[in-house]
Amino acid sequence: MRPLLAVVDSYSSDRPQFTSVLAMLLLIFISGSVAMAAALKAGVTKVDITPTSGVPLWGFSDRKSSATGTRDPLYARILVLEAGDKRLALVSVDLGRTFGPSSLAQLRKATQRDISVLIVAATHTHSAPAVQDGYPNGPPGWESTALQKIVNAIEEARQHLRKAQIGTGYGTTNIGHNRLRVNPDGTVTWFERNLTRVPTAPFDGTVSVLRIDAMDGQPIAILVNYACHPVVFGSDNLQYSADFPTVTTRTVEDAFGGRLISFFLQGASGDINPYYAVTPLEQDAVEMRNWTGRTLGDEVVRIAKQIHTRPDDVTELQFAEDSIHVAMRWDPEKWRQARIAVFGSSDSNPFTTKPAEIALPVTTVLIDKKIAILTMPGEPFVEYQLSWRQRCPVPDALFIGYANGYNGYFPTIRSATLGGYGASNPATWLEVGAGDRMVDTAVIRVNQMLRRLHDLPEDFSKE
Amino acid sequence: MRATLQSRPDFNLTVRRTFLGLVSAGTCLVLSTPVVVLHAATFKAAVAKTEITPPPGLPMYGFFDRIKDNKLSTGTLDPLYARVLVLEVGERRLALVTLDLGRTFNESKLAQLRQRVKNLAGISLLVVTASHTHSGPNILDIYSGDRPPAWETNAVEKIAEAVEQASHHLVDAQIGTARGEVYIGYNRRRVHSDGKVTMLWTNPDKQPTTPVDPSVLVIRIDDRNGKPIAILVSYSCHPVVLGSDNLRYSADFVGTMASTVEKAFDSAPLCFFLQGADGDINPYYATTPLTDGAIAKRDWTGEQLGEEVVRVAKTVRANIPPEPTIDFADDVIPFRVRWNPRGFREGLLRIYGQRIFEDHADLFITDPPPERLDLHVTSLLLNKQIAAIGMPGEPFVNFQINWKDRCPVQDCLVLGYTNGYFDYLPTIEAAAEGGYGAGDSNTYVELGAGERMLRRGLVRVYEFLGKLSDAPERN
Repeated sequence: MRPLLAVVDSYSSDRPQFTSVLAMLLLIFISGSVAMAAALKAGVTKVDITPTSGVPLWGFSDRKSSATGTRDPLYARILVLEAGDKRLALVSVDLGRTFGPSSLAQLRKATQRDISVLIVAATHTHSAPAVQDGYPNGPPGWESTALQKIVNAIEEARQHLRKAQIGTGYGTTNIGHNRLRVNPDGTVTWFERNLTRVPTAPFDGTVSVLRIDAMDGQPIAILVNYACHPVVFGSDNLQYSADFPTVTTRTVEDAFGGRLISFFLQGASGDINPYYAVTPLEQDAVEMRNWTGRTLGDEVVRIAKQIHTRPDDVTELQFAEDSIHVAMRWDPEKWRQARIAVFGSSDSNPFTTKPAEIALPVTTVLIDKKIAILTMPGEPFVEYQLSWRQRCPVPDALFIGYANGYNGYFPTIRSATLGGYGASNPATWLEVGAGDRMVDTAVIRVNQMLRRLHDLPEDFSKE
Repeated sequence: MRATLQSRPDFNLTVRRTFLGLVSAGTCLVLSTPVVVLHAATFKAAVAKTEITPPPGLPMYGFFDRIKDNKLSTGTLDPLYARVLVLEVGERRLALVTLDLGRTFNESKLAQLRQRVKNLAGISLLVVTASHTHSGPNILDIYSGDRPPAWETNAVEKIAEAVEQASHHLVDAQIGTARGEVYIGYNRRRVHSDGKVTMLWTNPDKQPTTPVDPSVLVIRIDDRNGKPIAILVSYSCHPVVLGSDNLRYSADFVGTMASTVEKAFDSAPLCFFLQGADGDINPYYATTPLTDGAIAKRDWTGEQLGEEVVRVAKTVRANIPPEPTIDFADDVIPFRVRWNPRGFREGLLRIYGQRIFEDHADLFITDPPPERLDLHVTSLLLNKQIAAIGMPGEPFVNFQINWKDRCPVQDCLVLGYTNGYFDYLPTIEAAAEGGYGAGDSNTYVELGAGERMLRRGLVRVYEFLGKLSDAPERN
């Protein structure tokens, strides 16, 4: 599997003056809304964003042609949460990556009157239209249409906000494996498919489920947070599909009588493949996709049915949006040559515009002082998800990758030294350790939201 | 002053390159892996020691009440030394300077020292690290009238001369390491089940605490005849057995430890104490009043550590490094001030008064106060086997534990109080818990600074090992 690299042709950095070359963390906004008496409100919608056929597909550089049709529709699912005067819009798209900066800015601008914080997260399906950071001749029609549909859907969800209660639950399922196999001699082997399901490490089989009910206990939304590349379909598949997440969400929705919307929130799947990755169509890829999605979905259903939601004592929606400035990892010319060697000459041109430093948007959300969400704009390796869950000061710690931007892979420092796809090839291009900084940032933010970190030293208040 | 007295053999021819750092920084110096080694260079070493004890009548370091009450030093309990180890591989010379002081000199003095040792001894890599004794003279970043005290100017010159002296007496050397374990201290932050933190300022009952790192790393450098030249001791514990009632200069337990080790080897080697990440680690008998037998407690503490060092050092088998190397990086990372700078300055003045600027918070005497702080991170890899990260402040012990866990070579150590001083460096988690040095005015560098410095050191070591480069794989 050879995912395509993202294209960046427009970029802006709001680097503070004193940062010089060095990256730093910039607080854009941290806000909270406490509504002790007011209830949490939720609204959901779902909109079909499947393009017409003929659009180039995302994710594999060896694909021979554009999309020929639709296997299962691609959706944008929208959850709007409201607490007091703050509203979060979480948009989950059945795409390989999120839209580029200008499209995301367009979404923000169109919704900013009613939405305080926007998270757009992709499931990372490799059977969806190619998305770029920018387009020489403007965005393709399908993308403009999708953006407008999403704006409308957010508004629709907002208009249908109703009192809600929230709960979480956890389980485990193994539908995938770590695809970077480290051999005893320190070399790394690309372990793309794992048909015999041999155990690998690091791996995170945790299924995190967030259930949102109406006040009568009927589910409105079930959010599934799990880390696994949706690549059961390989490059021979030319039909749009959400890959296994479509089966997962359908399994969940069917189990609850179709009265809710289920969201698949991709985790830190940078090095995690499904067992049956890139199964050729003639080898029952559809069945393998279904097995993968159903296995996860069944576990979600089991977990979700055990969750008993109730109104929280404190209803509060807090969030922070940080911009973390990091340097490029490679020598630009060596990176260009490696890209050509790995991804082909047609891939080379857009990357000449990569700046020396990149601003990574990191969004941290804390719901009702108990459920924390960290988003990263790229493909984090799974150890970041494990680290986040371990370090997050609240027990419910969701991790959403591929959110609010796309900046290639985020390997851990050790993974970067071991090498392999996404760890030290041209599909990763940012400063080693960028992922660690993003986790640090979110841990700090949640502690601030919990008022465990303050603006002035504690001895100043002991006068 | 003492130095080994052997003639210096000629250098072997080594072709090297300067390695371009992969990690951006405000400024950085990176010297790294040889690309082509025509002949393996020789590993050489020499040591020197110079006394830097100031005259009495000076303010002392480390306890604000002593400064606030204007209690000046009255004499010397045991002398304060600067110890110098010069290492040479090919054309590269490193000087490690350990100080029996509370902290290193300010950036201006360090820059002056760097230039002096470069001119005098061809030293391109300088590591200055303090033991953190609280019975040394006070040292500030900003002195009133921009006039450093005379003892400090004299000390810097003496150190430069000691470095020069050592560099004239380099001998072919061999090196080895071993680890031991000893409990002489504890974690002084007690995190209770309700999340509150209280400070356990002394622990004579030796109650178990966590986290602590009782490990002692011993690095032994011998001449080619097996005679020890230097014994380096890496351990984490605040040298504060002597408290604020003590008005005489002392290296605290570190002096006892060094004497114990040197005596055990018939005074052949110099013993260097390398303070680790002791930001939250006190000795059991911390701040023992002089009237309660503080000297005996100091000696007990130093002897416990010293005896373990002797035991370990005697097991070390030093070897001639087959391909000796010195890899070094000095990265400067700009950090924000953790607090609102103006609010921080005003709060210090309001609560502690002007004299706080004669203590740890002198950087904030300026109005407006600084918003950015430039911290040196020192990364050192010796013979591809011994990795050290130097942090300019008081890192919490979890950084050392984390460093040892993540560092890709077996022998790795943290050097606290190195190449600058910016007070306490708590982990993010400790900062959120609070307590002295974690959530109070004794820490002021941006949250996460320690984590970033540690990662910078880690990346540097991987670069030195050739496991990170500036070119992607083609797969």
